[in-house]
Amino acid sequence: MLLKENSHGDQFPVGMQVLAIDANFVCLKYLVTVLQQCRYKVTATTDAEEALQILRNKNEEFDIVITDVVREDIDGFKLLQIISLEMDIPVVMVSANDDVSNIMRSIKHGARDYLLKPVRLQEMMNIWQHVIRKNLDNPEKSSITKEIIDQKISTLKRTRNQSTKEEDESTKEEGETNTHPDIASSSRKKSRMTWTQELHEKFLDAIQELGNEEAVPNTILKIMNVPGLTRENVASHLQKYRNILKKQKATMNQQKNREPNLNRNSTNMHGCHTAYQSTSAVPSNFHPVNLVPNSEELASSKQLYQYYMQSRQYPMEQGMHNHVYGNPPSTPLPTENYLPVPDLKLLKFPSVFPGIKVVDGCLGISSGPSNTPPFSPSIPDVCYIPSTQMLGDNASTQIDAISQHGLAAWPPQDFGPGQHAVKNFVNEPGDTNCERKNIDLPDYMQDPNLTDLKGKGKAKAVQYFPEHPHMESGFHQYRNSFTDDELTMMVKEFNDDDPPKL
Amino acid sequence: MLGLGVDRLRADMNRLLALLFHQGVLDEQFLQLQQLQDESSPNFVSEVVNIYFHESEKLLRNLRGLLMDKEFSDYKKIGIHLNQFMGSSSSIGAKRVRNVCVAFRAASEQNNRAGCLRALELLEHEYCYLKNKLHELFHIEQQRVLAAGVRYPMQH
Repeated sequence: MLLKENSHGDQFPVGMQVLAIDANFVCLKYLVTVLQQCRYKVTATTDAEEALQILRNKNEEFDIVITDVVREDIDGFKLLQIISLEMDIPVVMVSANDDVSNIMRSIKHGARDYLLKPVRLQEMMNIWQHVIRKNLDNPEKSSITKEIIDQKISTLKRTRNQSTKEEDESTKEEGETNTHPDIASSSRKKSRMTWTQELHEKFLDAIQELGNEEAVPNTILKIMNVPGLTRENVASHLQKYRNILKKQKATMNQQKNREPNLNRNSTNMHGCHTAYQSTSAVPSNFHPVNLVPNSEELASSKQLYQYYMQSRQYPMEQGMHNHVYGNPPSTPLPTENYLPVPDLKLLKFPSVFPGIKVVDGCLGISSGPSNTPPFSPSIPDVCYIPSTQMLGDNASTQIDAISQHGLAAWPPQDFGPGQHAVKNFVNEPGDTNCERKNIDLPDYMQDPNLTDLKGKGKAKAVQYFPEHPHMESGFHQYRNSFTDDELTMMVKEFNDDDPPKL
Repeated sequence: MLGLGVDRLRADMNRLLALLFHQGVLDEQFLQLQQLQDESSPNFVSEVVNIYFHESEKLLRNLRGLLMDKEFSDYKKIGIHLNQFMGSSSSIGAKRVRNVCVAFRAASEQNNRAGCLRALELLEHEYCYLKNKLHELFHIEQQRVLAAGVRYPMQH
C-alpha cells in the first residue's frame, strides 16, 4: 500500500493530519469545526509564517494543508509555492474569491483543489482523496513521463550528461537535490528540488531581464528572489535549460537542411546526435527564445543566412519546430512524426483560457478590467432598500456610530463634503439622473461611465485572446512541477504553442 | 406553562429566521453553522457570530479609514479587506453582506472611489441590520434555553 498505514491505522481518513491556515478568524474557526466533524486531526493558525514554521519543524506529520489565498503577509500563492518547493504535501486552497484568474493561478502553482468559501462539510469529507492521489501520482507520473521522454529524446539525455561533466561550471547533479537536511533525509519527500511552473517563469523572467551576457546563476538567483533556492539549483537549471534550447536549435537547423531528404526518420536521429555534440559549450549569445547557435554549427554561409532569416521571422521557426517534434493537436501543419515516439498528446494538457494573464502581483485582486468578474448576479440582492419597519423597535438601540452614519446616508443623495470632492474628481455625468430615475439601485452600478468601462473591459478581454505573448504560451499545461526531462517538454511547448505561420 | 413559553419562543425564532431567509439576509450556510453546534460546542453559533461581529467592525473601520483618506489610492488593500469580509460573511451565511462586498470589490477594482464610498455605506447598513437581527435571534434562543430549563454555560 502506498498509504502510510502506521499513522492512519485502518480507518484512513479518520485522524488524517490537516494544517488549516486562514487569516480570517471566523473562517478559520468554522473550517476547524468542519474538519473536526470529519474527524481529522486539525492544527490551525491564522499566521502563514507560523504555518511554515510548523510545517518545517515537523512536516512529516501533515497529510494535507488547507490555506486561504488572500492575506497580507504571505499570500496563499506564495505559501503554496514554498510548500511545493520545500515539502511534498498536497495543498487545497480555500477562498471567497472566484476570479478565474485566481483559480488558474492556484492550479498553475500546483494547488490540488480550489474551494470557494464557505466550505461545505461534504467537500471537506472528501479532501483525503488528495492525499491518496498524491501518493498514487508520484511514482506513476514520473515513470510515464520518463518513459515517453526517454524514447523521444534519448540522445539528449546522454549527451547532456556528457556535456554537464565537460562544463567547468560547478553544476553537479547534487546541486539538484534539496539542501535542507531534514528534507533530504526524509524518505517520503522528493530528494530532488522541484521546479514549479511559477519558478520556471520567474527563472525565464530573470534571464530575459538580464540578457545574454549577464545571465549567470548568482544574478538570476538574486532577481528570482525565492527563499530556499540555492545558487546550485539555479545553475543546474540554467545549464539544463540552455542545453535543451541548444539541442532544439541544432535539431531544427539539421532538419531544415535535410528538408528535401525523404528518409527523414533516420536523418533526424542522426542530426540530433551530431548537432548536439558540436554544441557542448554554452554559447555566449544565449537567448531564451531565439537561440543563436555557435558559429561552428553554421558551417556554410548559406546556413548562416538561413539562420538569420529564421530569427528575424519568428513564426517560421515555429513551423520548423512543429516539423521536428510533431504537432500539438490543433496545428494545421502536416503531422508526420519523425521520431518513433508515443503520442505527444499524452504530455500535453489542454490550454484552456489561453488569454488569461496571470498577474504577478501577490494579491488576488487584480485591477485590470479584463479580470473583472461579472457581478451582475448579485445586483438584485444589493438593490434591497431597508425600511425602518424591518429594523424593528430594538434595532435603533443597538445601532452604533457606524451604522447611524450608514442609515442616514441611504438613499445616497447627499454624500457629505468629503464625497462631493470625490464626485468632482471622478466627474460622472448623468450620475444624478440615474439616481432620480431609479433610486433603489446603488448608482455606482448605473453610472454610464462605469458600464462603458465594463464594456471596454469585455472587449479587451476578447481581443486579448489571440494576441497573448509567446512567453506565456508555454505554460498552459496543468502541471505543477516538472523534472529535468519535463523541462525539455516545456521548452518545446513554449515554441509549439504559437500558431505557425508558414 | 413553561412548556408553552418554550414553544412560543421556538416559534418566534423560526419566524425570525424565516424572515431573514426571505429577505436574503441569511442563507443556508447559517443552518450549516447551526448543524455544527452540538453537545461538545453548545454555543458554537453565537461564538462564531460574535467573532464575526468583532472582525467585521474592525474591517469596516479600516475600510472607512482607507476611503476617507484624502490621498487614498490603495485599492489593493481595500480588496484584501473585502476579501476577508466576503470570506467571513459567507462562512456564517450572511448573504446580503457578502453580496454588497462583491459589488464593493467590483467598484474598488475599477478604482471607482465614489462607488466604493456608496458601497461602504450600504455595507455598514447591511451589517448593522444583520447584527441587530442576529442579536435578537440569540436573545430569543437564550430565553428559550432558560425556559426549557437547560443551562449551557453561556459566554456572553
